[in-house]
Amino acid sequence: MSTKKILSVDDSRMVQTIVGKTFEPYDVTVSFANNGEECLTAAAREMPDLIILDVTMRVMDGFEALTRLKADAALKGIPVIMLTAEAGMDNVMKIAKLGVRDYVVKPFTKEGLMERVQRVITVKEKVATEETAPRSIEERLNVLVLDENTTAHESIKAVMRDYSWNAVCCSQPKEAAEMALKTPPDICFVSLSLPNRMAQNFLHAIRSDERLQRAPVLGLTRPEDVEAQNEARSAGFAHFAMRPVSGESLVDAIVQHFKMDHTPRHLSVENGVHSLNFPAQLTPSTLSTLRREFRDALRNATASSGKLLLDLTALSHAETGLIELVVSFTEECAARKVQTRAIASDTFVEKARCFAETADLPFYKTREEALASCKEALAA
Amino acid sequence: MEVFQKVLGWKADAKNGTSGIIMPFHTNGVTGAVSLAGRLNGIVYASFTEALAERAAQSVLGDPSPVDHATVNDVVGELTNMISGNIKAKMANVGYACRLSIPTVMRGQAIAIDAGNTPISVGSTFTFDNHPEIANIHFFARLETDSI
Repeated sequence: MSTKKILSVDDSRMVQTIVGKTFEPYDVTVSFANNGEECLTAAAREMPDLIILDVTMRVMDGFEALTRLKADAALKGIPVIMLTAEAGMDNVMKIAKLGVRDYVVKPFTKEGLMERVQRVITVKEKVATEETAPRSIEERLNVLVLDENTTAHESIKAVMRDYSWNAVCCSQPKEAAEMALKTPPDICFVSLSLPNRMAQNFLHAIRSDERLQRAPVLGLTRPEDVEAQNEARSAGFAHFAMRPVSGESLVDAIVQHFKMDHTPRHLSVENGVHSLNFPAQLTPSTLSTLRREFRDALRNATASSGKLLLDLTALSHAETGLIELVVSFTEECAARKVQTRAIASDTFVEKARCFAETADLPFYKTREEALASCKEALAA
Repeated sequence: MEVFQKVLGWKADAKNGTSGIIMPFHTNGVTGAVSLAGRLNGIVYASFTEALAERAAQSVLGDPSPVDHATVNDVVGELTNMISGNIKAKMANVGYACRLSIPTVMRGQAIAIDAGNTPISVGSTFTFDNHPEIANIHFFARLETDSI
């Protein structure tokens, strides 16, 4: 049985989201239209197996779209399920007269909608073609980004490094395909605004290689680019990440896609003040986690108290990587006008003073001392 | 309540039911409005605190990240549409058929609203799963005897 095509027509993004989620587990390609006029164009182009059509819409409502569908010899055979917020008997009678196969009253559940759809067409559950099993955030990942806009490439690489992930950013499909064959990516992001169907061609190219068949490929798009998303879906893109693209936005998309546990390990908040707590044992992986959680802590501190404590009390040794980290955190906080203070034991301070970078950095013995210093600075 | 349960998976509790609302009354936060015209003439307002409206949008999207205003407005508009559809169905079944307008959404604090000549005026406050944020739903209408 081939993949069924469903066209969902609604002017509400909320309903579109719910409809999209309803069919995620099924072997179905869902495309979207925002009103009756777009419905007629999309129906003629895609010849879907089913249309789910809202009644009340701007530009052209569902009744008019349905009337025109039924008057078109090529389209009249496409079954239609109407979605309506109006369950009154008069409305139901009106819908029935127009020859729809069924109707669903809003609010509806995903299960309720699915049950109605299964009455009209048979859809089967998706056989896993992409790697979507939960993965650990500590796991090393190869990330491939194909985006003609190179502005964010360097920042993407830098942010991914914080996660011990390796990002390869390309602006040309040929180069991206070569890189993918050389180092098979665990996940790819592909710009849907590349000209001449390059995104679709790239997808086909990497899917034709056995090693890359299961790598998730996410289309980079804007929420309003419904047309581009529909075309991409028809070509086999199953998931999308929204622009504007940044290192952080792609990390969020990866975390969400692989259902990674993103719970902070070294962050705490006491009386509204955020602390980044360095553990006694520092490994390269812990340093990466600290870098990542520092970004979250800085974001939170900027939006709230304006203070961030670096708690180094568990440490007794100082080493170059750690010192560089402490200095870079302090500088980033200063750039964002966040008051930061480092708390450390005498033993650690003695060792830190041996490094030029931290020879003059003030350390505090307790949290209270550090907060008092922040208060003084803010008052000044 | 069915709307919140089915769409958002939230358990809603209705409190402080009022009738005979004195005009103008004030809405706060993100307010959706749908007009009803026919044998039942009136308007439905559903207002959500900003935080609750954003939480509703996050719930629909299944993503706790901040949501832009357009998406939040869309969710509030569609929820208002569904609530109005429910009212419409109940009134049509007792002989007062009407048609619904497309929802509109407004934002702001203490927006004064005067629903005009509407002998029916009822409102209720809803809380959800013991969260502090609330939604208010108001329904103003009059019954026509010689309309469609």
